[in-house]
Amino acid sequence: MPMIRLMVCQKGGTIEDALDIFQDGLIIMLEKLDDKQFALTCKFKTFLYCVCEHLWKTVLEKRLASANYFVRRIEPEGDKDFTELIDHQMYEEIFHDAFETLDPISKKILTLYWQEKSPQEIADKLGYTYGYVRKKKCEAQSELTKKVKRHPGYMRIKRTEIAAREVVH
Amino acid sequence: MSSRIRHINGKPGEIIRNRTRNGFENDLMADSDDSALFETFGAYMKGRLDLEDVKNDPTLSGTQEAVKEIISDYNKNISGNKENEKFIREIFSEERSDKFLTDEIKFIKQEIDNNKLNNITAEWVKEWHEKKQKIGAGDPKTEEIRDFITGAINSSKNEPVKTFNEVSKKDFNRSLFARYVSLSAAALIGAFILIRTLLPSSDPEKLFNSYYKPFDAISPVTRSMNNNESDNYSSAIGSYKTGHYQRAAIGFAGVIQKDPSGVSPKFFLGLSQLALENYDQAINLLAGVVNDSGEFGKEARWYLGLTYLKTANKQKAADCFEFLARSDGFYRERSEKILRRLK
Repeated sequence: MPMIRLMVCQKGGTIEDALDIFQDGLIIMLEKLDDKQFALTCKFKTFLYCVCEHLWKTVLEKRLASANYFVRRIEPEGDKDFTELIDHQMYEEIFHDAFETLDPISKKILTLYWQEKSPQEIADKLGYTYGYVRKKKCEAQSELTKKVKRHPGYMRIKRTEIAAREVVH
Repeated sequence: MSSRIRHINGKPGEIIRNRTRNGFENDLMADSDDSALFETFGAYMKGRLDLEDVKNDPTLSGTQEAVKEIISDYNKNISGNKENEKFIREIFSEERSDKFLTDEIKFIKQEIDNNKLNNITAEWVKEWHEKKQKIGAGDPKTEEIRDFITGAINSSKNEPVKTFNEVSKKDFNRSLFARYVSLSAAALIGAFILIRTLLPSSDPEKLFNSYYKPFDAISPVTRSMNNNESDNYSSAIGSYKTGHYQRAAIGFAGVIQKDPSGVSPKFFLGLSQLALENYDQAINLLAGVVNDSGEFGKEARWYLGLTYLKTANKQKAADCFEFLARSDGFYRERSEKILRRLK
């Protein structure tokens, strides 16, 4: 789901769009699995990604086609939260910037951690001890969080949140 | 602003779950907001890493082409399997009350009793455990599916639990909804896919894919060879073990040319041809080894049976596996399983 959510959000969709696409993708995959002639010859997530990407492209084409066909009318957006897309892009930039400033070992350990590897597997792969991996991961986690919080983009977001809360209350 | 991310920063009273993962238990940060921020970052990075992995997959372009056709077929056949669609839509529906779930479970249990599914599923689970033990940790497809399910479940738990907020009630519901649907849908579908891919069907191609593994060549030396032949043979075995089947085939062919009476090189040449998808040649060579009644007889018959499965010659495949099912040894039980599915 994180992969599908990221793909849809990067291509102009919302989290709800991602859920819809994910749902439709699962339906299609289930249909295919019922077919006795079907054999999965690639990675499972590759197949899921392809199905969902294609579905999302179809949705975008339809939206573009309907936008071109109908006369544009200015209507209130209602519940649609256009800032969600902007936020997503900003956070992507913040996360990317913060991660790139870490030292190479921290980046490697965190990458393997996010790939669901255990401390022992990471230690074996990188040639470190179990204890070192645990310690380094904690340090990297803490440093990354600090870097994110110190990022100008993140501080700007936080300031606007505080301002928004003050307005509301 | 994104409702999910908006609530990460410093809202008093929020409960943030710190998920444990793969031996990194107790890696909690002092500040719960920091933990939530790190988990959100983690979810983003996991998505990015998965995307990179997919984009670097050499099978991607081929799969994209196949998928276009699949979706086109699906769109044409809208009146297809409505049960599957209904099942998934209901999982994603917000309208699932406890009563609905209780009634649904009752209905499912009744269906299980009516169709005597308990015995069948018990056998599936038993076979799954046996297969897991034999394959060990090495089956990449199973691991991939398992990681997908785990990742989907864990990514749902990563979403911070928000306290009720009048201003963002709709966003709260959406976020809660987002958290639970991917958990249940992905777990159920992933488990279904896992079982479907682990358990072989009666389709010969699928049976072949489930049971074929390159032969574990152990000893590169046989007594009948002299030193020079032994080196060539050993080198060819090395090529086979490392997956260089073309090179292995050339090596074994060279050994056979010098000594046509040797059985082992013929056996391994047959295996190499099987790996290279030259099924006719594989059949000729392996059948020769079987008829020789010497070294590697049972192994050759096993791989011969698998080759017949690949070429959809069910009868000849069944003949091979029937012989092995009647003999003691490593291939007996698995031959019996294949025979059950072929009949």
